[in-house]
Amino acid sequence: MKLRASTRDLAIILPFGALAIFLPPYLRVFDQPVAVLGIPLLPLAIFVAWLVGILLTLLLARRLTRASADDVEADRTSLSAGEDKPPGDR
Amino acid sequence: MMSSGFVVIVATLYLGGLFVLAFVTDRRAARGAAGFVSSPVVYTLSLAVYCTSWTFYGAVGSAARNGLEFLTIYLGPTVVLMGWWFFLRKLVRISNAQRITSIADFISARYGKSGGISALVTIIALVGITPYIALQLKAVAASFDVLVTPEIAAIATAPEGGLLADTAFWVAIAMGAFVILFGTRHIGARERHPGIVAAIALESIVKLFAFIAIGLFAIYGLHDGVRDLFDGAIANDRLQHMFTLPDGFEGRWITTLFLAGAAMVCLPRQFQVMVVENADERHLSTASWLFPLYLMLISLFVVPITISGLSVLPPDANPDLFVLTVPLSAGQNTLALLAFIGGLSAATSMVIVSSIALSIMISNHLVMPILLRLPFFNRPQAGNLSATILTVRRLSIASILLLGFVYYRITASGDPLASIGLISFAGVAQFLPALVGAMFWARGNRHGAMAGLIAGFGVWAYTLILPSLAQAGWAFHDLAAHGPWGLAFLQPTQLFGVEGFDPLVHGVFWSITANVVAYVFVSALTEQSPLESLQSALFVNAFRPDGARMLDAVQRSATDRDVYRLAQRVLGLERAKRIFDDYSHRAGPGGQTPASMDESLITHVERELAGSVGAASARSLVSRIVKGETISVESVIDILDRTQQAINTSKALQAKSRELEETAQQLQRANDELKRQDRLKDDFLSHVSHELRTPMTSIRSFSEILLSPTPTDDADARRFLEIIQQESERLTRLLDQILDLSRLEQEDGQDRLETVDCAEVIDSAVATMRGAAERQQVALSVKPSDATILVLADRDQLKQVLVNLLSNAIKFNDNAEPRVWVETEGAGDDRVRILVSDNGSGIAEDEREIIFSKYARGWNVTSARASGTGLGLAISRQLVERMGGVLDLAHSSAAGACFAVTLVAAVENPMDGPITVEPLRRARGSD
Repeated sequence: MKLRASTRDLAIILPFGALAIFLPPYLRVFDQPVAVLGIPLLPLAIFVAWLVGILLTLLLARRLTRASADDVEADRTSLSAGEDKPPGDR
Repeated sequence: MMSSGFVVIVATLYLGGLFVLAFVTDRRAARGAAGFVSSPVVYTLSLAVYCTSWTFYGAVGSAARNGLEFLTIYLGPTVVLMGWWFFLRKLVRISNAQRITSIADFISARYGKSGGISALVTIIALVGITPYIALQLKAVAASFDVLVTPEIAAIATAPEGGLLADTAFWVAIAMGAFVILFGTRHIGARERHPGIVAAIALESIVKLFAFIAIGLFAIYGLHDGVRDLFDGAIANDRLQHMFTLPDGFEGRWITTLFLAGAAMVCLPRQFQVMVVENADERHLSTASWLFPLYLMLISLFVVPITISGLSVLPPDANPDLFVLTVPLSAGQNTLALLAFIGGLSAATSMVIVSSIALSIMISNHLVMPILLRLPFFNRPQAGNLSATILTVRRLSIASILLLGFVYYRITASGDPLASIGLISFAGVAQFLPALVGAMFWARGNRHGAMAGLIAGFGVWAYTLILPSLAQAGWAFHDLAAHGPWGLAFLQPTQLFGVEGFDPLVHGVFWSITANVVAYVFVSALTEQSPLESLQSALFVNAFRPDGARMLDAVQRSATDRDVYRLAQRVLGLERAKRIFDDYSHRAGPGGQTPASMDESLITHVERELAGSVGAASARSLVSRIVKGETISVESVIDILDRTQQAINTSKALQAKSRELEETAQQLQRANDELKRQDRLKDDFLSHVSHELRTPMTSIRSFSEILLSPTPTDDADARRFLEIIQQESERLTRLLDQILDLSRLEQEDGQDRLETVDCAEVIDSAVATMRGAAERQQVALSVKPSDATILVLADRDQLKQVLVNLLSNAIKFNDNAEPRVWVETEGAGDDRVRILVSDNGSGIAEDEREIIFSKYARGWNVTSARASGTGLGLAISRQLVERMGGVLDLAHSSAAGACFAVTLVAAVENPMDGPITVEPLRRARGSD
């Protein structure tokens, strides 16, 4: 499986998206005197966003490693055949 | 309260366990059975050296003081890890390729293997990290005191008693021994220490386990579950800051988030575990989610511990020690002991990795460059350098710990844990611009990096260190309060009169600004050396498959014997031999080494050396034995360009082929058009010939009759001559029209236009055609317009056009009750339309444009008998265009056709003289 451009874009979008969520203007959205299931909204929201970010990173990391593992395999084959490496993941 | 002896025994047993684990792992690794140590989970756990005692104790303290701000310290690294694919992976790939040994080495290697930069980075790191190490010792001592002191309120943070009674002293000694034993056993291929990594990973498990245990106790021991915990907390006034963001939190929030993210890569210990100890790039993909998860779990349990501490303990209790005092206050001594061990783990792991990382930096970048300049180490018979390096490392470790310990003893009373940590973070964050620039900005150079580091470090020391020294009452009191020489705008905490900022935000803002500005501007204004260009190409293009070929750009040679001796001196006999064996093995069985092998051997050895003594020292060692070193920048650029060119060429080819396709289509269209024109021309010629032929024939036949010997009577002869004259006139008319048309087409000049009353011209044209209309029984009418409509036109030509349109409309009207009418209307934008409509059968669709062509026949062919030459519409169109107007078919259907003459309305006073206008050209279509 070759690394798809969309996967590569996601690998860049995800950290910046996470950063944006954890910055003040967005955080303020959750700064309400409300409790969900007895837990104040702000800390709950931060931790939920954090966990979602971790899950997305996990899924993405799986895809990225699978794709690049195949790339490495391709590299190896072509090297042993004495050819130039094909263009890699970049 | 616990007996101090018992606590000491437990702590000693724990540390002893670490020694055993490290020892066993090292032995296994030496046998080549790295096993679990090289798993991604262990790698991730080793990253958790990020969580020091500052996290273990300080996070709760920070939460108690500043609410949710503590989260930023863990969110920052989370974001950095999420960006592993384009950032950390590149960092690791470059470092593996270049045998990087530390962050100082990384930055210096990129900027031309500069010894100056690596020394500067080492000094900054040392200044920034020493207080941090002191902080760990302080935490251990303070936590020990809490455990063995009966009254919680009576806890003193200052160490009391002599040196030998100070727990921190013994911890420092134990750590020193541990690091020297497992960190400097030998000089490895790279600075990898499996034993230490294993110990760090275990410590990460212990501290997480201990922290979660305290957190669970806070939730289920002190409270009745999560709901109960928050119910009480929401009602408690002291805890409101835990659930909301205070006004003006943004500055500190963003600053600490940035610092924590930067620290994740810039702290020497993080660089050590994440980059230098990384055995496999793929481990990063596991760490990318597992490490954030670790951080999230730690942060999660900070909340219940803080809530419990603030609600259960007396208000004057030190929040930095809640982790211990919360279980202690409930009489849970075992749990408190577990917490103590957790804190000890956090502190010792940080001390271990920091001192290794710093000792590598000190030995490679401060001591070795000096030693290598000494004649003693340059004698031909000088012995093995690797032993010297190891000794330097051991001494460095001892000095670092001593320095940290001394710092701790003399600043014992100082700041709460968190602020020391953050100032330290801000110090190492100064590496970030040079580091990021190293990987992504090819133009960044040594001068820029040096200027940035110096500027950033200077401003950091001035705005953050100096005020804290003044606050502690040591020095610079006047300077901090009033600014140097009494210049208030240079006050360290209010630089350039910027007031009202938190000192940390203020310091970080100015130091990073100065750093980035100096780095970028000086880089932009100065040039790179050839070696820098090569290194920057290797760094910035680390992911490119042909990167290794760039080394071909270096040309130098040395005798094998010199290279071997050098390798042997630094790396030891055994490794030098192995390198050379590997090398000759790769060179092939014939042992025939081509000329370029010379360089690749030297490069290989230089890299191996760099893995032990750093890039700058390795380079200076190698440069002493090589001859004729040249780096051809052209070939670096050439290699870079070649790939780029391939990409560009293929893009260009694509564009070209698209272009060609378009051109082909255009040609096709033009060809069709030409064919059509050609056909029309043929038609025209045959039509004209036919038109010419008819009168010619009659002229000829009548002239023949007249010339024949048989006399004709006078009346007949006269009639014949009349016919000949008529036909000649018709011929002349036809020829005149053809001449007219070609004259109109060739002339490009403007006619002199005048203001014309439409109605007048229409009436005149209708009057001319009235007779023809009556002959054909066509009802001809003019719809009167409401007002006088004036246009710019040539009166006679306009009439000619209208007559032509009317005559066509009358001639070809095949309706049973034929009607033709003329009307005038405004067409916006100062234009006027004259419409000539009929109720005939309209114009067939495919003829609608052709009829305006001068070669057209279509419409006229049926009516050649009339008097048409087929040129009427073509000439009319030309005429209208010369008046700046447009003649077209407004609409046509089975119910009739309507031609429109659009002209420029005259807005001027009609009394004015002739006006010249720029013609409103009809868009050139098919004709």
